[in-house]
Amino acid sequence: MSTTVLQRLSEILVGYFGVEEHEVTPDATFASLDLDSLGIVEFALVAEKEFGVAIAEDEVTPRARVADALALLAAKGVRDDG
Amino acid sequence: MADTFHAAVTGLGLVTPGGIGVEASWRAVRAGRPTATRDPALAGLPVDVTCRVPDFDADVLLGRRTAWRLDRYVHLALVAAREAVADAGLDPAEWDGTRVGVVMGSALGGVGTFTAQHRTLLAEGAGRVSSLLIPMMGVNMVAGYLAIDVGAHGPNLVTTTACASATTAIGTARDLLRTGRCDIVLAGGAEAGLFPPVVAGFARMGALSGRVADPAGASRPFERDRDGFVAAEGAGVLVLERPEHARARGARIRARVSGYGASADAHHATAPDPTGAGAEAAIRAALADAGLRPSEVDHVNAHATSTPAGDAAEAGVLRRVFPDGPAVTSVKGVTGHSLGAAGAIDAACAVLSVEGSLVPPTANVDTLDPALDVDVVHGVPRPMPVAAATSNSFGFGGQNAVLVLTAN
Repeated sequence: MSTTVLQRLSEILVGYFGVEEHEVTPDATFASLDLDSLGIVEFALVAEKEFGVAIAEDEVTPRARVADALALLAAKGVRDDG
Repeated sequence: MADTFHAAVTGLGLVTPGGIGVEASWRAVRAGRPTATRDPALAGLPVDVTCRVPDFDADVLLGRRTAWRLDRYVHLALVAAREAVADAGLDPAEWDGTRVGVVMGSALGGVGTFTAQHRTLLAEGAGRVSSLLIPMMGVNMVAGYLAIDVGAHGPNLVTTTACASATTAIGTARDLLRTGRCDIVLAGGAEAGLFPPVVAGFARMGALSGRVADPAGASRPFERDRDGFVAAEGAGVLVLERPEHARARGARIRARVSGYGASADAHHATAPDPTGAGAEAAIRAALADAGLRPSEVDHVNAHATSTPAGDAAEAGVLRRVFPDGPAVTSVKGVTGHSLGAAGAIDAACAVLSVEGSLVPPTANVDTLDPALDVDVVHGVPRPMPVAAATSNSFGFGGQNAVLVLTAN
């Protein structure tokens, strides 16, 4: 069974950051998921470990949308499995 | 005395090794049921006996979305504070938050987060250290997060006087009410320091009980064979109000904080002054503040943590100050010693004693230390009217703080 990058991202947001699954939509900003300027740094740290890529502090911000994060991960070569 | 200030205690919240909530905690304390156990998280340490809050899951109690960014000491405090506010019949959506203060005590702050992040730093480098480290570990942050949670915009601070921290917080909160700076203050303490470096440090001081083969019997205040304290975690929060404010809204006043005294031994970093002069000064100051004579005190909720020297020094002071022999108890036989939270747990129990006319027993007292010569309640709770009680806390650094609680 294939796992999409969105699913893996959603698992982080739900499992680690306590966001409700239905909130994780492409247009949701990280700020709307209660990830403020400190929270987004923690998110980058957790995402780095999950996806095995380096994410600089200025590459994601609370104003960024989930879709922006997916595009960033794609640009770093993260692909859907399967 | 006409100008005695009686802060109204209108709400209580407790998270203790006896259980989550006032009811569960008080049930354990009343029963004299010890909570100390061997602690798997401390396996391999010479002393691995602690008192932990049972079944405390912050993700469930607070929600993962709130819990992930907070240290455990704030988790414990938030649960206690919410219980206390609800118990007071207050609705933060309706109060004037500018008139609501928060004064909490903590000795160690977010030391668990610090130790974990220090491991990360050493193992993975500075780039992997959490951006939340500082707001999670700060000893001041518990008051800040409580204010965020309930919308309390008044004076906000943390007092840190080691094992007296929460008592200092409650006394300071009463002063904020007395001076008219606040109508309501959430006051208490929180501690979650049961991590290997902390427990090892206490063990190296010789402060902890070495009774690892009999953990339930390790914390035995005033008992002949006591050999040290058992480290604990927990939180306690009292809602204090200006008496006029409490009366105007028809609040139930469970008891009153009618006196506060504080002093310093100025003697030694960690050993109590064997003469007890500093502790005595704090008790006498609290009684004077309350306008009470020693003979009017029915009950002493003692600091007594089960150390040989500390319990003996306190007993000596109690004999000197209270010749009429009030009923003395230490809840630490049940709860262990939760450091900066202890004063709030003790004060809450003293409130419950005043309100319920019942002094709980000191656990594990098989044979009272004959050298102490104080009336220690043990075995079973003692039903008795408690018009006035003191709650004593004596911290490392020689920092002493004492409250007087009275019936409304």
